[in-house]
Amino acid sequence: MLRVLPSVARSLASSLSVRPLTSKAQAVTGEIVDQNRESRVIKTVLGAVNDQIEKGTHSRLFAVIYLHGKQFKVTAEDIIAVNTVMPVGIGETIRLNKILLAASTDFTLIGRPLLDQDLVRVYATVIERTLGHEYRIFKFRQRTRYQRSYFYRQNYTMLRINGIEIARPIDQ
Amino acid sequence: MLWIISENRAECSTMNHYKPGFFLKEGFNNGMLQHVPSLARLTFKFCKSHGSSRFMREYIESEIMDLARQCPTAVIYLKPRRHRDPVVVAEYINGHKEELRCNPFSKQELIRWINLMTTTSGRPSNQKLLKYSATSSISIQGPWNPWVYKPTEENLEELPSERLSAAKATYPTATERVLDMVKTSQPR
Repeated sequence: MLRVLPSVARSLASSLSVRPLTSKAQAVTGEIVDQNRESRVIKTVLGAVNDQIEKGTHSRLFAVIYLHGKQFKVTAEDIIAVNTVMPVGIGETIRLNKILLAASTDFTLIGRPLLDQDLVRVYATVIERTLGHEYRIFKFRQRTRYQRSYFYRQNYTMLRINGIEIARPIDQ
Repeated sequence: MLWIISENRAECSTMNHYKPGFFLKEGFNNGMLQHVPSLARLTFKFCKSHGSSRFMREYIESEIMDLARQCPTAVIYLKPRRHRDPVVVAEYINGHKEELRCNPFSKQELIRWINLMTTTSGRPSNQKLLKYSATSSISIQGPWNPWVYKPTEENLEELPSERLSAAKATYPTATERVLDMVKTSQPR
């Protein structure tokens, strides 16, 4: 999946020097329509995105990752708190495999539902494994003298996002 | 039977309204290039003879060398003193100091509590986490507003405009459906 900003699409369409197909109504009135326009636009757009990826000229990337049943929008240097115990030691770096989306200012790669593991890589370092604040779970039964208090603290694992990289051109 | 348990338990209990909250802090970008452990010092206070320090003594005999190998950047002190309860004191590089009395703990519980002390980053334990992510960078594709990806010819419309202020019908109204039925029905 590929989505391009309208401004980029407009500049690409003008570079093609073909009258853009704006609505179905025009096609019905019998204008000459370039049959290969769609495939050529796609090729040009992919080329523009791949050019940025190969040269590394794209802006800062962000990604939507799927972790422990939740989705996080992350970019490099972020911290996220995951409400679980991970079997990873402090200071160890892991790679987050389930990437739903990766994007810069000019393009967005949307997974269906996940992006290819070889395409986008997101690394994170475990910086903290801790417990949350203590809260009370109160159990109470009406008209009896049943009252119980249990105290509990949630587990948290803090991850520092080291970086996001697009490893290869997108149409290969 | 009433169980006051829910997904967001923190909001259920009024006790927690009075607890201070905190946000994840960016700090010194710890963990970007290398991770600096936040534990600076661990002090084990115990009695050599009293029964309350029994499991602490067992822990020191069997586990403390492994602990020292796990945390090479932390200093570990053993402080025996007579006829007092066992205590573990953890001091962190941000200046926070956590003191934990270990009298009722078995050896297994001690292992878990001390593991917690070595992996936290020195924050008062009563603070509740208010947000699950923290970032220092601004929005990359720009914040959303109602005019993002809207057709630009709407800018040229003169206001007030009947076309723009009309309600958008996503499906035929009841009147239209009745009229359709009348049109399609066979004349008698």
